[in-house]
Amino acid sequence: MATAELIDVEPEVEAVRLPDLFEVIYGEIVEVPEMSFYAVDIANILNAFMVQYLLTHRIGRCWVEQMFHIPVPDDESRLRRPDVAFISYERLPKSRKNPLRGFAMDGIVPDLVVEVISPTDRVVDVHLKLAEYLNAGVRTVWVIVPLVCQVFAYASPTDVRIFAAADLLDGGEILPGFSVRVAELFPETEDEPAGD
Amino acid sequence: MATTLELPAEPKLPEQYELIDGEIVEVQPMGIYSSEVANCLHDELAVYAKRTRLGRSRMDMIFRLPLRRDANRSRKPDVSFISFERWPEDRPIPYRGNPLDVVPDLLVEVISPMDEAEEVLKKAFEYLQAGARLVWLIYPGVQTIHAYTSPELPPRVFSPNSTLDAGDVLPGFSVPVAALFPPVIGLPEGKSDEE
Repeated sequence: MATAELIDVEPEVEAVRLPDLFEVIYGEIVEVPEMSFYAVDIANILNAFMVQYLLTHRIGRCWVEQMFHIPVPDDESRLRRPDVAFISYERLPKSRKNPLRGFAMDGIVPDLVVEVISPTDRVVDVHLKLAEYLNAGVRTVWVIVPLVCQVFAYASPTDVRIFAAADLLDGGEILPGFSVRVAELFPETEDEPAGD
Repeated sequence: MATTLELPAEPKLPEQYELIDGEIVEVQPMGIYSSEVANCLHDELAVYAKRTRLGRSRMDMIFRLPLRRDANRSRKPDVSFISFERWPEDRPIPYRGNPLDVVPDLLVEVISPMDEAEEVLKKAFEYLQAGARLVWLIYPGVQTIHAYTSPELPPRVFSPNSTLDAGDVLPGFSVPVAALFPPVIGLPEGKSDEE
């Protein structure tokens, strides 16, 4: 059985302590900015719903804060760390074993990724990131905006479906039958969300 | 030693500001291209206003947009349309002072390069809560417009090859989305930004 090929970082770098969470951009280790407790919470809640769904719909696997190969034209070995990712068994066959070493699986691009927005994220940067994912072969990007309890589902930068709190977020063709009320993704917080 | 007489500084208002929770908050200048897009839209609305005589289109005007938790909140939307129903054509405008005490029917924000995603949406919701009937968020980077009529509902999405309309709020208003976005150079393309 074939083992997954690995993308590894330069051996010299291994001697240096790596940040807890990082990505690899143009060959450089770039630390991922710290996410808030609330944002991580949301990612985990969504992941839990997906895990539950995948128990009865055995079509692939999902992960939280894992690193994946997201190649772009001028950076073939780029590695990104989406908040949640789903890969179908079409793209990652069941026979492929988990990598023991290394940080990402070469050539395996998730079908779906999820990014939870932080308060400091600029619109421009969010659009760049989702375009990057989509150009690399991700089929749908879900952008979760905690402050307004909405989910933006992008199949392309201009093809977006927006789900408000009371709506049912559905998995479309990628997660057929997956359905969760958007409001359930957001645990109750101390502060008021947007509005009175 | 002689003491210098210090005169209290006259508080000078920034050119562009809003009033948030009683504080004067300076507004970041728009990017050039965002400003251009705002102007294109304002041109269209001004023509519509003249043709229909339903109201007036304004740029960079500061309005009182009260919220329950901040009655004096005042904002300066990029473009706005105020129907003559909400502010009659012949009602006098105060000579001094800001803001204008009316909630426009339509408020428009054109996203600029420095805008934060959550802040932009939060502002749209604020506008709706204050009584706006329609809020447009214009994303120049992807030539898309999101139209909000309620914080609970997802917005209507106008894609680059669609035609923008304002429903009941501006009956008969219609412009191809592409017409609002003149040629642009230097859109960010994902190369690592040199600070």
